Amino acid sequence: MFFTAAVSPSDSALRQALNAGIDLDELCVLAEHEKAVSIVWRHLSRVGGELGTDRHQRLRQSAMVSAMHMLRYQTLLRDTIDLLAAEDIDVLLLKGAGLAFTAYPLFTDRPMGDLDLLIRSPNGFRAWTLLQTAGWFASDVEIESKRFSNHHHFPRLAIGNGVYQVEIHDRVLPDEHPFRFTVDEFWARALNVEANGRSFRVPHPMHQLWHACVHFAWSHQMQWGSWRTFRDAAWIIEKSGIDWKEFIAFARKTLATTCCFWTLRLARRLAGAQVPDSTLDCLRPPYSRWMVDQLERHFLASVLPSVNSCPSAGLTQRLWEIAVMPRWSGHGRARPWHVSDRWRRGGPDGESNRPSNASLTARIRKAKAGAAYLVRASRLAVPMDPLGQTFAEAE
Amino acid sequence: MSSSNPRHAISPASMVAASSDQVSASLGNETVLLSMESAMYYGIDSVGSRIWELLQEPIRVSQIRDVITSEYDVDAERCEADVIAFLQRLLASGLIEVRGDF
Repeated sequence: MFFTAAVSPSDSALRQALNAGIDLDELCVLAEHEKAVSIVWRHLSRVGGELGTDRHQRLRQSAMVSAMHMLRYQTLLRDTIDLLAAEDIDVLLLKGAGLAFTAYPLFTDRPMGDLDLLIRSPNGFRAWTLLQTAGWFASDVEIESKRFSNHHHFPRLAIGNGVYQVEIHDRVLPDEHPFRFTVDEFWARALNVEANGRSFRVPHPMHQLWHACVHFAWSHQMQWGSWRTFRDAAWIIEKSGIDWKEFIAFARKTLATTCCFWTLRLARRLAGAQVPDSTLDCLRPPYSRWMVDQLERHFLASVLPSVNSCPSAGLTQRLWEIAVMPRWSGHGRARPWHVSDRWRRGGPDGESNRPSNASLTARIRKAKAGAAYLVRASRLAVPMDPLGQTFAEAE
Repeated sequence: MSSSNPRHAISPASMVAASSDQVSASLGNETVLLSMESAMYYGIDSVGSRIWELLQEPIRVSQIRDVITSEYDVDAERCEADVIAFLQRLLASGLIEVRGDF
């Protein structure tokens, strides 16, 4: 799956993986889960991967739908930008919407589930209201939900049958985040890009990479959106030629070194992102190589939904804290699970994050499952390099 | 001066290019197009995708014919007729513009 996240995956490595007897149904499920179908399909078509007729048809159809979805997003974005520009509302395209124009050859090369638009603070509500005059709507559930009161975006808007969604942000991260930066820094270094006969504003590539790292490692706790994040990192680095000295300085200033380390290390491992050893050396938490390797194996086991993932939300959080070192990083008591919507809904597998009322037997069973998981993760084989090259291990 | 008039006759000397009023996505050997004017989706096969790739920059129809005959096993006369028929359909759907005859 992650081979398809690389900028130029090795065809022979892809064929080797396909011929190694991987579960193709599982691959299709993962591709759909990660909204990666059109990209996975493109790579499999290129190397002539034999999928079987039914699977071939299903994946092709799904890829077509995904491509149509992206084309529709491209036109919706154009119309939305026109609408806001007519009211003199500045927009900065965050995450996928911005990356689609800057890091990737085509807008449709970057699948996304919604459009994220950053609006300067006084205009956020005006923009949110204005969009509703153009057919966008917010569901009652979204509006009434109090969890948006301190959230970094207004209640999500949808259009048509609700498939297409937009989020109007007035901040980049939720209020409770521990990172020392201001949204003005994003605005100050924003770039203009020309596309579809229009000018769009996007964050500077360094901010895009930093945001991808922090969003994945902190907001998503290295649990969700891995394929897109690693692919984004690989493409930003390839396309923009990051000034690593500047990136490291910004990561340090913003207290984001460990978040950047883990995202970039995993992106290099799984998607072949061209992150220099010296950069990882500067960002890494003060652990031994053995410890970093063990934590990496845990994250490798968790980046996609699988039977090998960590069975306990509590253990997942403890391992995240060990890896990210929030206190050492200067994050104080701020933790992503205090603000994350998903965790409030009960974690990735529906497991509650609240203290358990389970019986002693159930707790012992859970502790045993956790211990078994740690042993299993420590023995996990590190995956093949998608580019067919070998990186020196950062010591 | 460009024209998206579907009745515009396309000849080997015509200069053609993808219209700015469409968006497209590559899917390996196939391409999906969305006309922003009509909100219609179109799918094109591998040879069509190759032509579409060439149309991303203004190009003469005879040049398209030459590229296709060099890459596929087809004679020039048949290729030219097929290319023109294909371009005529793209023009009728508002997906390309004719930028004059040269």
